[in-house]
Order: sequence, then C-alpha cells, then structure tokens
Amino acid sequence: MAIFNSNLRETLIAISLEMFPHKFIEKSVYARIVDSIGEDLEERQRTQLETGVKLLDEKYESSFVELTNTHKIAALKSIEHTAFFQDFHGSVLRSLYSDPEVWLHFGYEGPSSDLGGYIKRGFNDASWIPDDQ
Amino acid sequence: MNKIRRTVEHDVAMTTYDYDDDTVVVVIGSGAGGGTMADELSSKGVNVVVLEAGPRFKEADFINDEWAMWERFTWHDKRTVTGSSSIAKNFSNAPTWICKGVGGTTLHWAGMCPPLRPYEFKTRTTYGAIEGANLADWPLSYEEIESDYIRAQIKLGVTGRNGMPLSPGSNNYKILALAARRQGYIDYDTGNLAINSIPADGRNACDQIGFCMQGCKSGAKWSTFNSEIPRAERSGHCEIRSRCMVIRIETDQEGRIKEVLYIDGNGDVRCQRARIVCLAANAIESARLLLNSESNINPNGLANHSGQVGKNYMRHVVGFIYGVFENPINMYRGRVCDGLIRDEAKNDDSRGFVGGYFTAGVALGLPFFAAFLNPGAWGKDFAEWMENYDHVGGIHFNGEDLAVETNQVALHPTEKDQFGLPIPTLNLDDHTNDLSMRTYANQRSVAGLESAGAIRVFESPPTPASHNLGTCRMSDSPENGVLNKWGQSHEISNLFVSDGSQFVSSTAANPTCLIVALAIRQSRYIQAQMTAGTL
Repeated sequence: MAIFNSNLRETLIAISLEMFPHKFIEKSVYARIVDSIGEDLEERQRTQLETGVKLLDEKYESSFVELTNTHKIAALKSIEHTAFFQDFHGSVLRSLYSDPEVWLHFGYEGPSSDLGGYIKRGFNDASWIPDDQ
Repeated sequence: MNKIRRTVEHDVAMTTYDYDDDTVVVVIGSGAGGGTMADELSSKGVNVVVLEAGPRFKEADFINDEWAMWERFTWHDKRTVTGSSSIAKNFSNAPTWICKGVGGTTLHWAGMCPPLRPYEFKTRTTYGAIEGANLADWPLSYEEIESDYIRAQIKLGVTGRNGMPLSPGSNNYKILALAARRQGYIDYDTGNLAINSIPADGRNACDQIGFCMQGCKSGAKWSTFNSEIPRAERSGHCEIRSRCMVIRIETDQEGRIKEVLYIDGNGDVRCQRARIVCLAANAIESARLLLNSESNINPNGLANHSGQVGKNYMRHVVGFIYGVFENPINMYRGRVCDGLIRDEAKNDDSRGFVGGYFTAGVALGLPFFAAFLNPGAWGKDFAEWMENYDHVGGIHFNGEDLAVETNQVALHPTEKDQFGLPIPTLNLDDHTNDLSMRTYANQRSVAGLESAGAIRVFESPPTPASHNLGTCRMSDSPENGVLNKWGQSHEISNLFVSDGSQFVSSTAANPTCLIVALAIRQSRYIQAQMTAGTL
C-alpha cells in the first residue's frame, strides 16, 4: 500500500480541490479520494505523480500549496496538457463522482435493482413538465 | 407483479464437439450476429461451435455501477486511432466501446431499434455520387430483408412494434416529448427498444432500473446472452467455448476454409476444423482477423482480393446535448435511451446534407456524466455545470455516416498484441456531410431543449463508438466488396461474415436489429446450401 509523503499528499489534495471545486464537499472527502488513488499505484504511476508535483512546486517561488487560488489555477492550466495532469485528473474524476457520499450532494441515488428499480420510485414523477403544448 | 425467475446458468451437460470434427459450423463471436447465427442454425439441427473471446458472465456479475461494469465487460485490447475526427483527440486509446464476453456488445447496448428506410439500401442511387464518399447500393433491397427484419423485431421484443406495447415515459422522456411538440415534430413516442414493456419470451418487464448499459439485471432488455445463447445450448446442437480468442483462419489446398486457430482459456493453442466459418467478431476484429490470416496465396489477407477488407468503416453521426431545467428531472431514474423522434430520419438535402438522423433521450449516472459531459474539463465552470446534475435532461442524435474508403481498420505497422499479432489501427476522418448533419442536429437539439425550458445547454463531443460497421461490405461485384448478398465471401464459399461489417450503408438506425435480421436470413441460406450439398 503506497502512502504519500506529507507534502505530496497535501499537494495532490490541493490539486484535486482546484480541479473539481465543489464548496459543499468537505476537504476530507478529497483527502479520502487521494488516499484511495495512492493505494493502487504501480511504480511508474507513483513516479509520474512525484515528478509532476516536484515540477509544479518548482514553477514559482512558492510551493504549489502556498500559492493563491488564482495562481494555483494558472499553474495547473500551464500543465494541463501533461500526462501527469491528465492521468491524475482522470483518476480523481472517476473516484470523486463514484463516491456514495458525494452522490448525496448531487441528488444521485445510485444502484437501484435491489430496490426494484425506479418504476415505483419516481421515474416519471416530474409533474411540472407540461404534457400538452 | 409476478417475477419470472430467469437463469442463464445451466446444470445440464452441454453438447461438445471434437476439434477434428469438420462437419461443424464455427461461429466466431457471440453477439447480435454470432449469437443469432448459433441460435438459428442450431434450431435447424445444424451443429455449431461458438468461439467467444471473452468470459461467460452470470447475471449476478452485472452490478449497478457504471465504471465497474466498464472494467468488467469492455473490450480493452488496444487499438489506436488517427484522423480528423474528434475521437482521435478525445479518446485516442479507446475509440470504441464494445464488449468482450458471451453476448458480445448486446451486453451493454441500450436496446435501440429505430425503423429502417427503404432508400437507405440504395444510397448510391438515391444520393448520387458524393465527392469523398465511397457510396454503393446494397446488393439486396429493403423489400428483400423486410420480413426477416420483422422477425428480428419480434425476436427482440421491440416496443411499439408487432404487438409489444410502448413503454411508459420517464421524466427525461417528458422533456424530449415537450421539445418535440414545441418544434412541430409529429412522429415521436417513448421509442422502439428491445426492452420488454410487458413480460414476454420468458423475460421480465422493465423496472426502469436505469443501468441498461451495465448489463440488464432484470432480463427485460434482450441480449444474445439471455436469449439466443441459452436457447442454442438447449437445442443440443451448439457448444459455446468462452475465453477462446481466434488468431487465424486457415484454408486448405483449394483455398476453402479448413480450420480455425485459437488460444483457449488456459492459454493453449487449439485448432478447430470447420465445414463453414461465420465471422462475427464485430467490425474491427472481423476485418483484423481476415487481414491477419494472410498467406502466400492471400498476401493481402483472407478473402481480400477486392482490397476492401477493413475499408469503408462507418459509425454514426452522433451528438449529446444536455439542458439544465428549473426543476429536478433525475434523468438517471429509468431507461438510458428513453424516447424517439423520427421526423428527421429522411433524405431531405434542403437541410444541407444527405441521409437522416433519429433523436432520442439519453441519461447517464453521475460517474459517466462527469466523464462524458466535457472530456478533460476541470475547474469552476465544470464544477458548476456538474452541480446542476439532478436538474439535467439529456438528448442524443444518431444519424447516417457515409462510407468513406479511407475510414478504415488496418493492421498497426509495429504494435503487436499479447499473441504477437498486429493490433488494429483505425483511421477516422469526418466527411463534410457528417459535419453538416452534426451541426444541424446539434442546433435542432439545442433549440428543442430551450423550447422545453432549458436555462442552459451543453453540446458534448461524440463518445467512443458502439456502432462499428462496413469493414467487410457486401457488393454485387467481387471487385468492390468482400461479400455477396448473403454475407458470403465472393471468393471462399464456406466463409461468411455475420456482423455489422457487412453493412454497405450505416442507415440512420442503430444497427443491432438489422444485424439480427441479416443473420436470420444468412442462416436460412446456409442451411439450404448444406442440405443441397453445395456447402
């Protein structure tokens, strides 16, 4: 099980917060996502993250986590074509929006077959939609 | 409501055939084409061995989880892509979404079976010579396939046809219907889908589970997995061999098909003799297998003197448009592709393009919506859009893709797979007709959603294609196609192609029902030829 060192972990969390800034999702959720990504890494992927964060920290006088939001976004924009950014973006996107705690915030109910589907649970309950002209 | 308990597992001893049994028909692939061939032939007493590259799932393996099922039953083997199409940019390592498993891509399809139009079988005659396109008429007419097409609709239990009632409409459908009415469309309803609206054929009616593309857990959605394959096995004339990847088709001294080489589930090389081979590995792998079966007498690949194997690769012109509404829609509650507007499925070049398109609802769960709304996007704007999720309604369109010779499946010049065989590389360029149709259809879709009350809309780029067609097209003449009107190779009488590779035009409709119709027809021809002793 790969555990990120403290700076790497904090930086990856900070990046994920800028990638998908949802004010109603607590930082602890992003931390959990980053930790779960860390658990499944191959050596090559781990190196890619470490190298990517190192280069990001070296871009400006301050390390990434110390930048203002505006500068964080600018820094990420400057690397958004890189494999490091795109791979991490894909991993976070997939984990974040597959997280049942996150679903609660979005109104997504998730699996339904064990509950009999939605045929009796609101599949056509939008009575506000006119059914004539 | 009584629930029908359906099992697709089996406890009875299955028929098996020897490797050196040269009287069997070998079917490569178990999807819409291969599965139907297995069922139709075995029901006529013909002995069939099906070689399926993927595993045999159980219904319990289907879970209501978009990413988990994508992992579980997608064809993940690498194919590369070049060309001007946005697919090359957005989905360069995964340009298609098809399945690997018993049932083929019918495992994940959404069940759509919109109607055919007779002119779609005569695109060269109807549209004329279109620059940059390689149009041809099918060597069979709509009238010749019509009764088999109706048989296919009945087999699949297509709603709104042949006595299967239309399904009730979800919230997402209500938006589509409202948009249709306000735009003056008249030919629309909850759609023609192979998803039971009432219990039928030993399968339950739809519970609006909403995970159609993750394996239907109720069995309401037709697939060869829950219908043709079990029925073929029960006939006693069919053996399904799963985890068997065919690597080569071999001919005898006379150039006729002799046997099929494959790697079995233990990693051993096996050789199955065959009286006849029906290739139904989906348009990319079918073309690839023919190309990889080259030999001294067939240096360009098997059955490829025309040079057309791999060429004329068609998908469909597609787009996905999402609208945010003032009240919740919860689009995920219900069938993924609820609803169908048919008015634009016509040939009317006053719109600026030939061929037509269908418009249908589309609904994604939160995980897939995040991935496909705007691939690669991030930051405040993207997050804000996502936060509208439960107020989002979606529609998509699916239209005719013109045959272009340079849109093709070829063997990669250097990259090989785990068996040492060249992987497929796709080339996809947009034809101007595709661009014109897509622009028009996007505009109409945006206007439709806005007329229905959308306060903002987003046009998503095309997704990896699940409709892969045309790479072994039929033709009248052996010079400009691979197969005759029966899907039989022009050159090798005991070689058939039974999947969407046969298509000469894409039609505007999702291809599954026509693939099944062609397989019904082809199996009848094969059985007659076998009885007559010509095959």
